Amino acid sequence: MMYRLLTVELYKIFSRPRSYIGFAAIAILIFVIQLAMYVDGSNYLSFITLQLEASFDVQGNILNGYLITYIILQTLIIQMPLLVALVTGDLISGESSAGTIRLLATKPVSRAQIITAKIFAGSIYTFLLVIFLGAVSLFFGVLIFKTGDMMVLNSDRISILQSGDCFWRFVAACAIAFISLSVVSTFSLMLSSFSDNSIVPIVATMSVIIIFTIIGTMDVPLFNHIKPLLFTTHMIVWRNLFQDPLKTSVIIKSLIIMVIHIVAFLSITYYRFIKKDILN
Amino acid sequence: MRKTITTTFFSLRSPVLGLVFLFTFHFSPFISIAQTPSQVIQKVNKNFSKVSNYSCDMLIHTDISFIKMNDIKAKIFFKRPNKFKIKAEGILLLPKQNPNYMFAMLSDTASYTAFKSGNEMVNGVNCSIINVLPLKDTADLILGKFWIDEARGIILKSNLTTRSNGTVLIEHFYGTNAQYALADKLIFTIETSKFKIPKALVADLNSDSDDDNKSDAENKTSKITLTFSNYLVNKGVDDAVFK
Repeated sequence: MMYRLLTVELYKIFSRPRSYIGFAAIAILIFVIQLAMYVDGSNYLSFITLQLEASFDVQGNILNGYLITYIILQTLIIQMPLLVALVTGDLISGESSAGTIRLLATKPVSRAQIITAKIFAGSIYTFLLVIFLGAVSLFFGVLIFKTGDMMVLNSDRISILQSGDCFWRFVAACAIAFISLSVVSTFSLMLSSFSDNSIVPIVATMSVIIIFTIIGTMDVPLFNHIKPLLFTTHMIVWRNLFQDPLKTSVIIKSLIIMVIHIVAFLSITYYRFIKKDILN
Repeated sequence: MRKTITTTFFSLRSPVLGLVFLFTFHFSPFISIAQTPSQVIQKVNKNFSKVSNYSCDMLIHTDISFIKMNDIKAKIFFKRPNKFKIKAEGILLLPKQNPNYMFAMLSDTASYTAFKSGNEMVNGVNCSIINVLPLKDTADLILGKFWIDEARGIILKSNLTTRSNGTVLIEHFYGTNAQYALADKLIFTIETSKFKIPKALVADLNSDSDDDNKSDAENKTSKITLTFSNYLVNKGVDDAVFK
């Protein structure tokens, strides 16, 4: 029965045009960034290389597929939560507003099974989105720009990772990005369980992410105490995979905090959905 | 000559003068005759002129405050008059001066004037300090200071003040190829300016850089150590390598 419920939920997700907006947006952004890098990448990198070349003789293929993929991941990670919330924020509230949730609740399945199927369907969508982002950007990046040592750019330092040491980091980064986006998907699903309007959870999710991100960006002492508690602070932990030496403790700590968020959001979602009066 | 000196010694009446003469005679092999700066440089050039080509392995170790990278292995090829190639996989950060820079510069004796500014011990070796001033205003080098082991004709330390790269200090360490003036290890200490990229450029909006890294990034000097091994001197290098 669970499998059938899951199939139905996936069918619902992928029969909506909005579910493909995320894939289309990612594909377009990857194409645009790679085209820009192909045409004018050396100019983009000159901000960095000029500073290095003032002191050193820099040799090698800096503008390679790994660097391009890293830039794409770093750029898109800000937009990805919106693309995820667009679908997962609608999973319960969309059915509430359409009135189909009442019909679903009359079926011989428990509400826990219904919500579990929705959570899994949302997770599968998120997973596919992350895999699509990672695979397409890496495949075309390597195809067009070839491989090479990867220059990881930070605002105040550079790490150079050897070519053979990059692929596993991208795979691990996608795994962590999936967990990060799962925080967003479960959060929007939780808000969705409280709403009968599909727009509200999506907009609320994005608003919370924007507020948390701004708090995380501002260097105000008051916010420094709050920052470790915000899930947006930990959503960028995948970038630590591209540091050498690897900051394992930081990564594990952030993963634990994100998992706690996921469990908390899911618990509230289960509780809310099971106790919910379905009036529409 | 020896006969003359011995005769003179035995003919001396004063014991003090005799002792002075004996001292001078006994230690004469250790007292070098002062050479002019040109002669000192000429000896270095002569050593390197024995090399018509060479290849060797090179290990690059970087100690740059704002860059974290592993050691890189490379291979070097050189062929007279001025063919030079470094082959390596990946990204290399090297000093602007290649390992043969000093020889190329010193061999063009018409392009500079040299003067000696004293002696100094470098790694337990008494070295002459030879200063080199380019004659052309347009040259990148403003002043070159070389600590040269006169006896062996090798550079043990160089300090290059350049227009493009500030001051570069190079420490030279030699092994079995000292006869060719080819070092086993070169340590470049380079002045570096503060490294900063706009956060928006690297999408580093939630930067988690800690204070340790920030202070490191503001360090003013960087070191690059080039360690050479497996020298093949005058064994021939194919021209195709340099293409």
